[in-house]
Amino acid sequence: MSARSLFQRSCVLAGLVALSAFLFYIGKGHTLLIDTNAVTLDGKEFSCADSVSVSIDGHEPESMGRAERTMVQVGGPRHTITIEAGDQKLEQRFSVPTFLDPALVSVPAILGGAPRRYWIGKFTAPPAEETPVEQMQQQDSPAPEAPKP
Amino acid sequence: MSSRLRVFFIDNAVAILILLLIAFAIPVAKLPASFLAQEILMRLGRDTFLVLALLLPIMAGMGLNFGMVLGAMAGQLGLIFISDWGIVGIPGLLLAMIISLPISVCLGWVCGSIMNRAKGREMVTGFILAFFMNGIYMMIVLYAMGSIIPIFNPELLLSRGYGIRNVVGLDGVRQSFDNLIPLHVAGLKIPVFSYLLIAAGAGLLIWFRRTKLGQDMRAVGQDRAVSGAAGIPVERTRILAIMISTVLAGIGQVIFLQNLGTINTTSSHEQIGMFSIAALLIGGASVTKASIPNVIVGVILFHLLFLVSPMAGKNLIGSGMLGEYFRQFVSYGVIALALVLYEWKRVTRENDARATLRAGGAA
Amino acid sequence: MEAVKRFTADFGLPRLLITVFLLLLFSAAPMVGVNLPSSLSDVLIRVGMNGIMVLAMVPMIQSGCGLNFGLSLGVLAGLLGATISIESGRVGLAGFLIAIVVGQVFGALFGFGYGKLLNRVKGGEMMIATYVGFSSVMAMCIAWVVLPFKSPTMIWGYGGSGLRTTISVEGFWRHILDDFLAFHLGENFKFPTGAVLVFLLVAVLVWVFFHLKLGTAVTAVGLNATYAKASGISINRMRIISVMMSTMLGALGIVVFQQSFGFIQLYDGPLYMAFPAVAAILIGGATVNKATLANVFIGTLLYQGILTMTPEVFNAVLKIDMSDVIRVIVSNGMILYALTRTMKVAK
Repeated sequence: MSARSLFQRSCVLAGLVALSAFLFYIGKGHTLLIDTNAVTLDGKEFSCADSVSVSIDGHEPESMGRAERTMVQVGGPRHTITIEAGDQKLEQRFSVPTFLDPALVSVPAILGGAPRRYWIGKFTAPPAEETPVEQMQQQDSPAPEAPKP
Repeated sequence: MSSRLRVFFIDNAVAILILLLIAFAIPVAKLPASFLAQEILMRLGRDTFLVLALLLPIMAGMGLNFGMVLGAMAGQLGLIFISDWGIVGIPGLLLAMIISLPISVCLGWVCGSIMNRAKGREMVTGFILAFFMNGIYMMIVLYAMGSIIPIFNPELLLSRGYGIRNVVGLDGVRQSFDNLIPLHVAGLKIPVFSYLLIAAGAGLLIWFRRTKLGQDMRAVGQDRAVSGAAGIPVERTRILAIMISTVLAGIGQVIFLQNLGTINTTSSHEQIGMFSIAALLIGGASVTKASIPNVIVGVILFHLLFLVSPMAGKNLIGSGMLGEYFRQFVSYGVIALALVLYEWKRVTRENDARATLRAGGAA
Repeated sequence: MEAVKRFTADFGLPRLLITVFLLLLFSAAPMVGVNLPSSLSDVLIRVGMNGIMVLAMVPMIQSGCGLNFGLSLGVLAGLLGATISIESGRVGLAGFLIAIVVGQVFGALFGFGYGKLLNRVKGGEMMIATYVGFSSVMAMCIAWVVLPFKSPTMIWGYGGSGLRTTISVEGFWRHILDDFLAFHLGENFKFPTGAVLVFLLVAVLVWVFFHLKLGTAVTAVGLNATYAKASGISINRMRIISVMMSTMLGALGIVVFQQSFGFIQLYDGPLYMAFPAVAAILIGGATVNKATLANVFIGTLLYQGILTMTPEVFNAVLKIDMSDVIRVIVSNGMILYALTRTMKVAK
């Protein structure tokens, strides 16, 4: 094999690998957990109103109570979230780290204007004794932990 | 009957027969035309690429490539991986295709090499090789995945802890190609992007035929000895034909499965070879000659038969199963018929050549 | 070293590997708690079950028609014999003989047509055999539904029509050969004398045939067609005879198989039945143009041995059931080897 064609083939190969990495990045699906639980960040308490309406990426808005969590499947790293609380309407973009799945999106943190890094967090499932129904009702599950800066 | 008409009938016997069958069965089945039209449009988008994969080996004189199943397996493995990694949408499908490439290339090389060692029997060899590779595929998918090959998503695994489940849902990428450019005409949904992909594939094949490698393949297909004497690397060209065919089959299988929306790990790929070959033959192709119109006509006719047989059987004799058996009989029979016609013509040609040789020698 | 190499090349590397593998399985068996006498008994029963179908491969290989992937035609003939026998209601030896005789009649008929077809396509028999076999199975599926069978043991219940998929031969001629003169050694080992005797008997008949004038003519056609023709032998006629023989042996083989298995399998059942027989005779050392009785015996023994021992040993040791996958890889790998080997020899 000549040096030139070896070079050509290596370029094609490198190109494919780069393309694969790119596709992986923009195609990675995530499970977003939209969470309206009150959170404590840096000593400040963030909470939200009794009823908010949340929509991701322009889909059907869903109304949520003060301490609920909804699941949304999305693909790709960048999304927008639209929150309506009373007469306050907020639209923000955020990005999800590629390998974070599932990701917790804290509505109170976004509403309250907390620094961006607190918006998306890691979700740790509570101990397995709980049934999924109890989890969703938010009665005993621990508050989601905010990522350390 | 004049000689030319006779030759036309023999050459296109298969297509004509199927056309008659369908013409008979459609009114008997009493299925609404809109239903048939929609199904055919969808299935065209789904299956055509796979049938395109069969064209090059025929051109290279290697007959019907039953080994395309190897490419289908590669495409399937690609999809299993992207499902595991959670890649969705178009990027997921593209990544699946890219993953299938190295697997297809390797398998195609193996297939081509083995076929080279069984010249004159490429079809049977490919046929058996497909079964053999299926065993290897099963070993990988049912035993190695989850144990030696890391699978990150436990939902894909069997309850015993290793091995992929029987059915893998493709929810993330389901119909991503079909829906990319949605088009509705007269109440029928048309998967435009899939058609574009098929057009691209067909275009690629047409362009390829004009390249040096394509011409070499054609020459090898026509006469191995002469092209070898002319300096064409016959063995290598044949292997390349099979390799390209396998890669195309892998891509085709990704398109096929995104439309279906689920992978049946053990059986999605098994009948692909048979269906695609039957479709191509029904479209008027033969073991030695196949073109893109054959592909399209074949897919349409094959699926019309597919759709119409069960209902026709039910209405005619009262059993839907009969229609189903009849359809399978036709699929297998078409391949048998095409093979018989091919071999018969070849034998007649050889006998004639021998007779002229003897007559010439005697004179 | 040279002698070893030559032996390996002659015996065939895959065949050597398979034999060694089987011996390993046999030696490992008692160590992992597998009951050896019962396993051996199983192997023998399976040899009796499948042997005649492997035998059916010999005529067509010898006459130059290649591997009979279209054995399903013979199987279908035998199925017709079996179903008609049950329809007649006769049990025991009478019923069994009816099944065999009717099967032979159909086998001769099917074989004749099949042979005529193969004569027109010399050189491409194997692929055509496969698909002619497949389409016939499907055509018979239609027949099984439509044919006017009435026996209640065979039709779908609740006043349905058409035959069931699996029909039990319990009460008719189940195990009629297996149990004939069978003897037990200890509590786990049963020697299916009847089946083995019939297998040996048919094998002897085949051997005798090939040593008669007709049989040598058939072999001559396979060895060198031009020479045979020059000697005044009709190539086409010999080929048809070999195809008929193969189909009739297939018809006999499936009836013997059914008496041991206990069930008649219709519809899809015969679709892939040719492949184990092909693999078995190739494992026994046959090639695409030459097969001897030794190939049949060794091949059936090795193949059925692997099929029986692998799941038993693997299950006991690894608790995994890989037997299906191993069977697919071994049988198809063997056929692949045979298909690619001949070319090398011809060169």
